[in-house]
Amino acid sequence: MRPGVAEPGAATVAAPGRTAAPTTTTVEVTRPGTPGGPVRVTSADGLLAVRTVSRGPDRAEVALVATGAVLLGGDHVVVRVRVGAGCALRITDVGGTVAYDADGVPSRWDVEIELDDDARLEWYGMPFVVCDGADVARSTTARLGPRAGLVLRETVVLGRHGERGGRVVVRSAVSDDTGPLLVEDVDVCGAAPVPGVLGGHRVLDTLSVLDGTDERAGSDRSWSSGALAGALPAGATTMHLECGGTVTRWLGDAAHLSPIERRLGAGPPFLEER
Amino acid sequence: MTTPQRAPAAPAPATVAMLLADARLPGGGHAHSAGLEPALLGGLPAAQVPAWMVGRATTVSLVEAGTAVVAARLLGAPAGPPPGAVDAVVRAWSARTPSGALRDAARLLGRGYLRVARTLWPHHPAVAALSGAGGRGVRDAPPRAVVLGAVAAATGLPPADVVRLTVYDDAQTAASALLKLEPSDPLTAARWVLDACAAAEPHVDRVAACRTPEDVPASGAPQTEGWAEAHALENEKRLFRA
Repeated sequence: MRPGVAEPGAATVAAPGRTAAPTTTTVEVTRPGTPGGPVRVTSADGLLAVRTVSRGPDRAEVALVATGAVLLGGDHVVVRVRVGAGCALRITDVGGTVAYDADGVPSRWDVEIELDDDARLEWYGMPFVVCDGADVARSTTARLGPRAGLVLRETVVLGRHGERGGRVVVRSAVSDDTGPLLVEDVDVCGAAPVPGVLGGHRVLDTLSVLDGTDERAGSDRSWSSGALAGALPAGATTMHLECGGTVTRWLGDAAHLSPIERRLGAGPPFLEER
Repeated sequence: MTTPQRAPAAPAPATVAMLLADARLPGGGHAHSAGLEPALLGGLPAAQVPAWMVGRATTVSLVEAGTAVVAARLLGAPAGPPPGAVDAVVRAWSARTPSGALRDAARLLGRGYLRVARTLWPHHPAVAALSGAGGRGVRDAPPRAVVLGAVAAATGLPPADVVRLTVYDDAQTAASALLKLEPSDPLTAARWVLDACAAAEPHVDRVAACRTPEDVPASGAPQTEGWAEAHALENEKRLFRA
């Protein structure tokens, strides 16, 4: 039995009997079966369940809902997202995720994203809190087809209030048909802060805006580097990647203080400005 | 003659490593602080400099080191550098270097190293392969790590020494800048250089074993990147390029 969400106060939480076998949640959006109808949303639930919020002729919105206490020691959450050609998907998390104290037992959280030609995905994640005693490997792997667009917000918080936080490796690997766009591992441990990595900060807030190279259009990458640049929040560092796209980042002490949070709360979602 | 003759006489790889690590070599490194000035201007307390040096030696320095190791392997291939090798390594490096300020700084250093490489090993195919490759637009030089890889291929510098040289050079550059930015006993800074190199030592074999661009470590340092981006916009207070 998994402990309920309502008892996060337990000092150490493990998933009894759970092996390293991944529990996979999938969501796939494809073109409508009938002209003028809504896009098709196909999903399968794992430790996270998919709830369809809305569907339109070329887009859908889904929410991801935890089906129990997530994330426990030994858990391996896999979320696989595919957006078919010309379709758009928005994912919202219904709540933040807490990686509970697992007494050092490792857990994994792997997101695999595949965007076909002209597909778009915006995913506004809620804070991912790494408690004392948690040891999490978190990865996001994305493959972007030509002209595909990805907006990803990822907020990692070391520790709940009063904690220093456990260990987490935040890995990102985004590529398109021409090669890697962004490859990054950020390895942090709340008990052993490293100046230059996070320093003494508890919050790593990241908004990535990336797009797949359109080889026919050559170097024209006006979407991520042009129109969106003005929409990025001040007060955070925006880095322009060599192959196009931006990573906007804020390090701080409380997620609600992040300028990225303010920006996302203030304006229309990015991809609709495309 | 019982020993085969080496013609023309080549210096030992260790000698090349000493040359490359020597600040008296005019490679342009004196204009850089290996991120120290951006860090201090960004608020890093001077007391945390040694911990910050250890952090670099185990994160961003390993990205540079792995890039150099893979460049050396590809450019030193017995059949000659395969087509597109330099671009593939530069692509892997740039995807692991999200900060444009840090990419620019690495290319400025690459330009200085390139002058050294082209003057000292002008005919080696690994050095020749750097021509016209690895740049993007106006930033027409490959990053320093890729040039170092070419020099390593040209001179037989072993991969583990490429890693150690990269880590050492970064730490020593910071230590040297520290004496200008926060004057203190130079031997204290030398101690910190050795401590940073020692911290990287458990990673040396892993990084030296990198073979393909995908193998290059991606260990990032977000705070360092933020400091570098802010420093690049700073025109008045800075002594160093980066």
